[in-house]
Amino acid sequence: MRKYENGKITIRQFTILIVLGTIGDSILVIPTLTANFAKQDAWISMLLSFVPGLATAVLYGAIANKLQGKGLIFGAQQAMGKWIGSLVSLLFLFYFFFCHITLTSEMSQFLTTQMMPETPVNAIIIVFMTVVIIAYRYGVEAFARMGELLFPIFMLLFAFLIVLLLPQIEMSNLKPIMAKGFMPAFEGMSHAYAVGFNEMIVLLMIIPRVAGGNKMKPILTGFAIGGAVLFITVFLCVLVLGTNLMETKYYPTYVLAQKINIGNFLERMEAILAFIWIITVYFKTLLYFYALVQGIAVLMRLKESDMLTIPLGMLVLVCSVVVTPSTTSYYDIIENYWPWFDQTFCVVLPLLLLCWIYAKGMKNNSGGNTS
Amino acid sequence: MKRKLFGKAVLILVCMLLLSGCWSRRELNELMIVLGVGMDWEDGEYVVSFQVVNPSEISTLNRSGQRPPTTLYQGRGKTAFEAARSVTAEAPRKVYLGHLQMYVIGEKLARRGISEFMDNTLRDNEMRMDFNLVIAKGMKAEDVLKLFTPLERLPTQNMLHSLKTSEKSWAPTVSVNVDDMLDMLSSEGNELAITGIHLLGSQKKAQHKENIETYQPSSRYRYTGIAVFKKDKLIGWLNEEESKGYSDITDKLDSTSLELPCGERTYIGIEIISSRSKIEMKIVDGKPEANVSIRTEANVVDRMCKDVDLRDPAVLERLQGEIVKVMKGHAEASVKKAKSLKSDVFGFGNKLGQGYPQYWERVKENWSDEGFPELKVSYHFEAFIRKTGTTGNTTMQ
Repeated sequence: MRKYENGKITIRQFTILIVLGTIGDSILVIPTLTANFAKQDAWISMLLSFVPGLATAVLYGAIANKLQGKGLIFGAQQAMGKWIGSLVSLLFLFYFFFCHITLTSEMSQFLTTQMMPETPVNAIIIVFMTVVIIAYRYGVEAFARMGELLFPIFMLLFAFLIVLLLPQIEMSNLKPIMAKGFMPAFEGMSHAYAVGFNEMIVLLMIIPRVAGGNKMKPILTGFAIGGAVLFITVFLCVLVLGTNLMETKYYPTYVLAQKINIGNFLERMEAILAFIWIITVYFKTLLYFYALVQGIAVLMRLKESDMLTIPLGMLVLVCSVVVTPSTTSYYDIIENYWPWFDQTFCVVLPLLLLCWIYAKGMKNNSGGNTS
Repeated sequence: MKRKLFGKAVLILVCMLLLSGCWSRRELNELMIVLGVGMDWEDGEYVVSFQVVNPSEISTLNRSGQRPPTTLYQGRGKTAFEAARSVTAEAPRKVYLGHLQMYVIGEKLARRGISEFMDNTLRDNEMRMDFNLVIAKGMKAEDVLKLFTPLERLPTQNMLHSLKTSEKSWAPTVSVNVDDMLDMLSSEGNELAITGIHLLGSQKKAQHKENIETYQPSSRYRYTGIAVFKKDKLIGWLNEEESKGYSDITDKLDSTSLELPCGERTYIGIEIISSRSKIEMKIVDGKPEANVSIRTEANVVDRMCKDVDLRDPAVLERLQGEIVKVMKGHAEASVKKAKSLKSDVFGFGNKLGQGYPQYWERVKENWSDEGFPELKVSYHFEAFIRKTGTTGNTTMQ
């Protein structure tokens, strides 16, 4: 296996990784989550979530620039001191682990309920994690290039989906707009925001590998493109499926693909289109796995991180099955607790870190060059 | 060197593990492809009938002609799933529902309610949301599926095609798929309506091959009427004219035939070529009002009365007025019937909810029992005759 130990990725590759990560598993769960709260206003929820979403992008961008090419864990340790820094780092790792678990269980549940009901979840996770581990061992540069290669395919298939569904759009599905006031759309927004944008905090872990100075622009572009794809998906779900199917089905996006029927011969495309969300879920999981392994390695001051991959993969495998034993418990967690969990670790904690860095910077400036 | 060799051997072994194919693969010869499902209610149990393709009989090469193109398997059970699984006790393979085209519900079961067993259908991952639903009018669903049909070898294929064609060019039928059903059952102020099917002629002969060996099959199916539901229970039927009115108001009508009387048992035949309808809801003096506007284009296809001069624009004008009258009659009849059944199949309530959400919140509780039956519906129909076929007036005496 050729190794790219100190590989660097370009700004373009960085942006693509963010886009793929933002879309991630959200493309599967956001339609049903938003519709559960906002009904036919689901698309408004998604649109609203851009506001906090882009604000979060600015937050991450600011942190990324402040870290000056260091990763989140190392940067936190350096900024906050050995003890508090390590504690905060541990919290971040804890979050990465749990988010990783939701990703693997989401993906395996999707495949087993919708496409391969007789396959055990474990088998799917094992194969999936194997590919993730192989990608990790090849290094960032390799998988960033892979993302660059798959991105056009993803966009092509996505455009394909949109164009083929255009004949089935029914504008009357949008009505009535905001019938029950602003609150339902707002509640839906907090879910769309948490699942869609918050979870990209993981990008702060690949900062050391990114060549180039200002990180603000690629992060903002990545969030905007990823958010736009999600918005189009939710919008299409409302227009084509209507709220009832969106609320009823766990995976409306899949039903959306099933709906394609051009002249009774171009149909049954769902398996091909399932490929697009397997790509995105894969990249999001990969980013999380990378963050987790690298985070542990940096925190423990390990020289080499490869030996962590297989044990961690096994942990993820077991925990995915144990933590979410059924789809019902998974959706219970996702709907009732997840947004708050996300926002604690992805907004409050980074905000704290940023404030700390600023405060420290000011103290240093006023006290002269003491350090 | 040895280690490298060992590594390669392991790699090949691992590959073999993965190359064995899908975990739950099912080859074509292990599947029973179900085209039609019939659901009935008998002695407190669900009876499910699967119409399964007989692969060797539909192949063009070695068709024996001894066996029917499809076979019917039946199972019983307390739930739809149990009924479906009990089929395996007599069928050689497991059923595959991905190609399901027709879902026939027996009238008895439909009167009992359909949402209970439909839940299983929505939950299943194999079923796609695009098959059509029909109600077996006055008979059991299984009988509809036990029928030799001419032209198409597969009976459900035959039924599906005639459903689609008759919806397009005859009007008193509507094709409702599961997706539409779910929409109509879950949305407020909109009740379900599904086309009925029933068998004509001798039911005994239907399931024998002789049925299609005669010029006119002694037993054949026909789509008749539209079943009106309240919540998920069937409560009545619309007749042909009311059904036409229904599909006209709900904008499902494309083309149909109309007859304008012009004398003793003589008519002017009209072909509707396109019809667009729009329902608008208003609130006047605190009461909702519906306005149905329809714009129709038509051709004259038959002239039985010699005194109707088709070369005269004034006559066409008069005929247009008569078309409006007939169509309005259909629409009024169907609204009247729906009102007497207290079931808002047209979705007036739904439209009201879209336009006046606050008002709708107040009235939706009693909509089907009070609001809809007292709803004032006004019609605004327009008809335009465009062509009179290849001739004006004929010289026939």
